[in-house]
Amino acid sequence: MNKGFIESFFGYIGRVCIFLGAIIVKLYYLPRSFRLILEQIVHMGIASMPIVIFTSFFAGMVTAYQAAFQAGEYMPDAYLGMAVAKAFMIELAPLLTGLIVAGRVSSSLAAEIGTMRVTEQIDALESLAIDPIRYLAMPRFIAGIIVLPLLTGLSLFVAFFGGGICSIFIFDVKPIVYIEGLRMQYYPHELWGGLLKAFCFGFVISLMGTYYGFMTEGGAEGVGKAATKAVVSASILLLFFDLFIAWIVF
Amino acid sequence: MIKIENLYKSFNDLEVLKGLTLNVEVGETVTVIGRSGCGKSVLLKHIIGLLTPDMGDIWVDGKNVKMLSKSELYKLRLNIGVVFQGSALLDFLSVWENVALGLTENQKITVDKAKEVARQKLSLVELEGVENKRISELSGGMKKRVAIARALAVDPLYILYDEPTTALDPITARTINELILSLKRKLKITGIVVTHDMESAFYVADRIAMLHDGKIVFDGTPTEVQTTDNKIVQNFVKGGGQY
Repeated sequence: MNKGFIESFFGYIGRVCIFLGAIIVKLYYLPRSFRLILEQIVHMGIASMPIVIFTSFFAGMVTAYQAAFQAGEYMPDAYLGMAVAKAFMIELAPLLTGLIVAGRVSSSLAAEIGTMRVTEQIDALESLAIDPIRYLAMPRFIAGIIVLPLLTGLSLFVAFFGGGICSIFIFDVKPIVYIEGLRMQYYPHELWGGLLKAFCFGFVISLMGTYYGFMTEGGAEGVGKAATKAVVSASILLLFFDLFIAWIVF
Repeated sequence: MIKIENLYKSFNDLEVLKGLTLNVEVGETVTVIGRSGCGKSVLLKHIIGLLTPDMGDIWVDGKNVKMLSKSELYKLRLNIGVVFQGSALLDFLSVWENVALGLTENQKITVDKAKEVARQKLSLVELEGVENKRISELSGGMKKRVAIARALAVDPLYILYDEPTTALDPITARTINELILSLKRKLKITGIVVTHDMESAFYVADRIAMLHDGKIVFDGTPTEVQTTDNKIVQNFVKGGGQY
């Protein structure tokens, strides 16, 4: 590895950590920023719901279908529900939701804040004695951390429903058997582990979106680049955290 | 009083300000003229502490801007209104929310009171009935007025205008110039207007300073600008001479 790469890599990590530190310091103003956080929760959460519902419903159906296809006649019907529950609680619900929201939200955060940077709106905030990290970054960061577990919970519920529809109507599994299957071999840490992943994904997505937004330089081209970098880095970090938390929790 | 002493600023290898010195007395409006990219906006950003000088000092009311802590700087900024070149209004807020932003975020104020102040400031810039509109619904001239109203919302002692007539048609530009002049007379605010629009400069200024090659090369009244022998000033005022 050459020296330039190492310098730029650790320089990047350093800048992100300094930015994160600046946000954490502003958590002191959390009660004052309640309205701003709520607005961002609505903005990120409600707007992401249709795509999360759509994706989770079909992914739930596909998971049930694939489980039935792989195991065929050798697997009792109840195991279909268990397959859907395990797959989504541990992995698919947080990961699918994370990747969808990374694409939707982190790019939108970077583009929104980046546009504010290049059109001097952030300078205007400074000139009005308003800290832009407190006013823009911190509420979005907190909203991301809150929204991702909520959307993951929604994804889980919808996927169970989708898996149920597939199991009941395609494989003639009785609804009560499918529901019993969902509860079979349930360990609470699987659910909490999945939600912990979602929490970390929210952290990564909102951090990358706001970081690249604030670092935007130039005009429209700079905004486009910031949005792309936010999505790519959020997605990569998300997969890294996915493995890391799986390793820690399970 | 704003006092700028021997200000130097470079961006990478590009030297923008090279020993700029300028004084602005209380109550006067100074127009800083100069070619595009000569560092006029950079000068304004130094005054409010958005940029830190490589060398030199900026004194506002006896306080050295570069020596202030963040909280002291924020306190100082509450005395300085800034009208940005592209208006820089926050497009996710309504007109009144933009105008009252400095109040709602820095003071304990009720929504009704903030709205009332916003309405008053908007009427000062001759904009009424637009409080609840979105920024995207406004024309360029209206946005400039809202930006001026926002700068006035905290009752500043100083107001800095960055190219207030750029990208406006001649009639709207004249209206903005008249507005700047009437605000100066009504509110007695000290102002710095950065512009390359000579009509605007002559109309609003008590004093005109010419920024060239990173320094103030001329400082005088509008009449002195018209009668000076300074070649750089003459060349700029006449738009580079004949075609």
